[in-house]
Amino acid sequence: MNTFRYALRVAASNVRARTAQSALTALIVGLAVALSVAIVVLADAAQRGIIRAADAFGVLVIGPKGSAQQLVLNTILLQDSPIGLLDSAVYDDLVARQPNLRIAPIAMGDNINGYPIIGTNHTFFELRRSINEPPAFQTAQGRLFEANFEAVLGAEAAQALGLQIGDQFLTSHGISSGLASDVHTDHPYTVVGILGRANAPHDRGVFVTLESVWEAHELGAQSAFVARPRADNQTAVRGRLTAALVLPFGVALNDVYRIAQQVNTSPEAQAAFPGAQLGALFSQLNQGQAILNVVAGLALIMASLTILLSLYSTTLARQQAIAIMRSLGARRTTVFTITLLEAFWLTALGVLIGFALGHGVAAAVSAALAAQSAIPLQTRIVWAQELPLLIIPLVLGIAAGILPSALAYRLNVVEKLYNT
Amino acid sequence: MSDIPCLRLSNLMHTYTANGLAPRTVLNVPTWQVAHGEHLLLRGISGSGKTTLLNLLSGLLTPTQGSVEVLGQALSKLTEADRDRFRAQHVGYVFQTHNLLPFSALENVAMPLAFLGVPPRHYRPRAAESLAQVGLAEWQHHKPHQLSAGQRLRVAVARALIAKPALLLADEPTAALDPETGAQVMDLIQRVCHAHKATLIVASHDPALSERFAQVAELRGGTLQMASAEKVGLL
Ligand SMILES: Nc1ncnc2c1ncn2[C@@H]1O[C@H](COP(=O)(O)OP(=O)(O)OP(=O)(O)O)[C@@H](O)[C@H]1O
Ligand SMILES: [Mg+2]
Repeated sequence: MNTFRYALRVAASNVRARTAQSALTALIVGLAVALSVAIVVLADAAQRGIIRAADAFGVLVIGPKGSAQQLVLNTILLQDSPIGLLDSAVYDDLVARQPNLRIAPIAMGDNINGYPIIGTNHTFFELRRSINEPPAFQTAQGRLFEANFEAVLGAEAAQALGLQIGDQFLTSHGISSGLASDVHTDHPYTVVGILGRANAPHDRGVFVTLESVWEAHELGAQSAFVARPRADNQTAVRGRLTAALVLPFGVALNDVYRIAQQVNTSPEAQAAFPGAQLGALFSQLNQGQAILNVVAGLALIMASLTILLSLYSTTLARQQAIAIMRSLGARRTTVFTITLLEAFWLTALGVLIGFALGHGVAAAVSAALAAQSAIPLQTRIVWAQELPLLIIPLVLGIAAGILPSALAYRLNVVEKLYNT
Repeated sequence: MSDIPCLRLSNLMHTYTANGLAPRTVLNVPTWQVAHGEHLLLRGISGSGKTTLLNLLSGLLTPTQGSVEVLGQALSKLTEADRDRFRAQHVGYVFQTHNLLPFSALENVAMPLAFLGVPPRHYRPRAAESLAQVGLAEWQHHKPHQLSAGQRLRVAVARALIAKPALLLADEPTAALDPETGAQVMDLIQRVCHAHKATLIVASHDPALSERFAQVAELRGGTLQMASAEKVGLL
């Protein structure tokens, strides 16, 4: 046991003695580990972020026929663009037939400096993550809109736009900030309320009545600026919605399925389950991750070969030192262990570097992604997935140490002792 | 114990068979003994086989024929691991090339104990003591390249002596030193061996050493001839 501890120390000082070479080898291992750690941590952060962001948005998204995934991404994560328009008759019909169904209409299509204008009604502000929690979007200042061209700002939108209660602003057409000529010049909105932070993409939203969205468009269409034809037909039109959200309160799950079925059989609308769509999105993400994992695995193997090469050359260069230790009473097994432990130290160092670097990179990337997508991403240590990423390189690194260690083991002492 | 010699060689023969070279028998010693506590000088011209003999005595080299017994133990009967342990415990070896490792003087000196499994809290004070014994108390933390040749030799001596070996082998200890320093180091080695009652074998072709040893063995043509100091002086 003492001899092992001593071997551990000798191995450590051998590693230290070759500062530059050891640092480089450990760095290569570190980069490979960082790559795989970052992939795992980012995927975890993305999944949790998306689940958290989508949490409050009810059980069912109703929208025009088309890609269900795009409908969910657009309505809930504010990604991508609306897939089209839905006649509000579909919505009115549902409300009429299911009087106790809570359902929030959504009409999007305009923005202010890239912050989406979301036409809806007060039902939207009943959305909650679970039945026991308070509503996800609540006013922190002011009140909800009561009249057309009154606006309630999401926390982030208010902060970024620098708007306060009583301020007025103009919007432009489109989902993202557009050309100056697209500005709807005639209709300023007045800020009446600002929401508290909900850690969801809708923190970027600017909430107004459906009527104001429709009216702004009709007026815009009359103005000379918007007279030219558009490639997209995704503008809000009177009586048209981009989606409707069904809240999971006041209905039995069976009813929800029945409603979904009814909607899906209609010629113009579809009903999508956010959970299922996000699940499909995750499995796509996972496929991407699997490919990245192969890349990371190859990087790890290359890093192990670097350890092999580095240790092989140093063991060759250190044959005399090994012979000296043998002549002082070190056994073959001891010098074997010392060389193997050098591989261990090098990889352990690399794994530590990789762990820190991987988390650093993941945190930086997720901060950038979060700023871009408004989906709050928070990285954390995912032991279940990361532990193998730390142990496998250690095993590979030690395995890479076996060949040089065997060289040390088989060394002819007398021959190398005088080999100056 | 008293009737067992420290060293006994019988029918010892060593032949080098290097690749591509004709086999060369370097040593042929029918029988030879060295009693406990003796100080012996091993003389012989360069290439006569002095280092080879010391390597055989330390068990680093296995003879092609015959046996080497140290403290009554036939080295060839031990497994290699036991031989390594035996060497660490009973044989100190000051190499012709000193063979220090790029660690501190203290770490170098402690190594034989460390390989025996002695924990740091025990080997550190003993290494410090051993260094103090050779007058290097202040140089514990110096690395070999920060020491003079004479100091390096003394570190090698301290290392060879740390396990209080019964047998100390020294190969050309004074070769790289000026006569005065050489004499100092030899005084030191002999004094410490005397104090430990260790058997000392010094291989050298330095004529200045002859007068220090009552026992002189001459290696010539692969055979060992005992000679008294006076006789050697006449040669
Ligand atoms: N590993 C080896 N393979 C082949 N021949 C060797 C080997 N080691 C030593 N010899 C030969 O054995 C002979 C004795 O060598 P050795 O080193 O024992 O001499 P030495 O008396 O110590 O010489 P010196 O005084 O120069 O140190 C030399 O002729 C040398 O060439
Ligand atoms: Mg020699």
